[in-house]
Amino acid sequence: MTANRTAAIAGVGYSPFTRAAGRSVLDQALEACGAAVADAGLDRAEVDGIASFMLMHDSVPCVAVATGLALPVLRYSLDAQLGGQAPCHMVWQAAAAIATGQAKNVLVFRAMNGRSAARVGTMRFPGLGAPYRYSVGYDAYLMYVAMWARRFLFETAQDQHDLGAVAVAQRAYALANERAVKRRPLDIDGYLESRPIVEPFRADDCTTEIDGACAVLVTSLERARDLRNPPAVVASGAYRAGPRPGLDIGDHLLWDDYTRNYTSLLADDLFADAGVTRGDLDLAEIYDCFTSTVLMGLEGLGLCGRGESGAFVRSGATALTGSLPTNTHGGLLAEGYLHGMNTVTEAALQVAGRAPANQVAKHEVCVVTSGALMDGSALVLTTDR
Amino acid sequence: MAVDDDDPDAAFYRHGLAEGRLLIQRCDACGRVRFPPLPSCPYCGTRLASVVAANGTGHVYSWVTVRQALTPEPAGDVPYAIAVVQLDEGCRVLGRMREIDGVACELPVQVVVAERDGDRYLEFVRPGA
Repeated sequence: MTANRTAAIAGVGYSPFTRAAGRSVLDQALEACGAAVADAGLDRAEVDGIASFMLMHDSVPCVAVATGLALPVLRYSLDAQLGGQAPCHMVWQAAAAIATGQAKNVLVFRAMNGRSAARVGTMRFPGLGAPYRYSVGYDAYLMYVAMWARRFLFETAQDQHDLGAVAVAQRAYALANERAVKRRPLDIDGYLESRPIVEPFRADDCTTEIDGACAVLVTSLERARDLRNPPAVVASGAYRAGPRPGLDIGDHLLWDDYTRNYTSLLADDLFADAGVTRGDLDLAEIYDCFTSTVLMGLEGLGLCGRGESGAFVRSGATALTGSLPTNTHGGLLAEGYLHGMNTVTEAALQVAGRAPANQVAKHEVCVVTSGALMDGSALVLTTDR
Repeated sequence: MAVDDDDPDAAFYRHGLAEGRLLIQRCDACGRVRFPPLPSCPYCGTRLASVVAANGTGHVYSWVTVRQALTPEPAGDVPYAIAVVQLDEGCRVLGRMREIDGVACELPVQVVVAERDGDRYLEFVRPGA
């Protein structure tokens, strides 16, 4: 039994993305989840499963959302202590739960006061790797991705202009996206002038932390066909970690190759399981807590050659009129850091042809990724074809 | 920069640092060295290992320069550079570069045990420096 093409995203919901919500995380989670159910055209009482993820208890458990939504019964619940590697993984688990009859309609959400309260970027992660990193001031997730970016740029003969190409390309999308928190135009000169944070990263290489929530409603493809929106079919999904993924979320010392992340490990299976080739892809939504993860994702998924990702982005290939529009909401860089859940919601809206901004003309096949370093997950979403 | 660390698997490492030595583990079955300390070999799974002193030479695999502190603790050190150094024995360790200028991937370095306020940590210097 597989879950391929048995489930679909039928609805999407958001709470406003802000720098200081002044609201509880639960309140925002309930708004986004309620909106996703309403968007799908379901009755709330039909929701019988919830999946979510959090780091260091920065969100609310699924039972709290079940309580707040007044659900009559919960048949499936999944609370993961995971970061950016989780969103596609959670949707894939929801699809598996539906395929195996554990639940019929599953909400997947992420909610966080990620700017005004617990900020992932400066969280101190406990774990067996902690003594080695915190003793030398290696104490922010940004540093770990920067460490990989430096080696990646070195081995692939790319540089700051290639990182900058990502920031510039994605900001162009954000100009049209009213949800995006960074909407000031950015060109490569502006990028190069932005202040260094942890080299090789500048301020414009970094995501923008926000308060907010977003959610998707996953149901069976059969049911989705009877609902109000075109289904975003979950054609395939995969989680992957290679050998020696480390002792905790901040430990990468045992990982062999900082120039290749999980995307290079799961790509072939992901596309084969979906029954698509790379040439079939109409768009991509690639996890981008920092610019380098887009370059690494494009190369890891095999969407351009090794060392060619910066030139690929600079050529306009990832723009709305290009061959592979990528991060059409502006990404986490510009729309805001909803921990990659908003990467999934954007993909679902695009595939359904319902994106409020930057709708890609041909939107039949989309690859989505979640995660930056040793482990992560991905989905192929398609139209119901 | 004090770190609470009571991991029993890393006791040998802490004792080594206290003596100014970098100690690592070598698998008794496959011979691979490893770091951080682990109760089993991440290459073959064998639990038996020997503790050996690293010879302390290696090269920079990658590095970052912190220009803006993100947390209060190391703010007084900015700017500072952190490197992942590949030891000649084959495993990688994390530490501070003594000098932030001229760092590059593949740069040869020597590992020294540094001390500040009673805390010991790894520092990387250029050979001959």
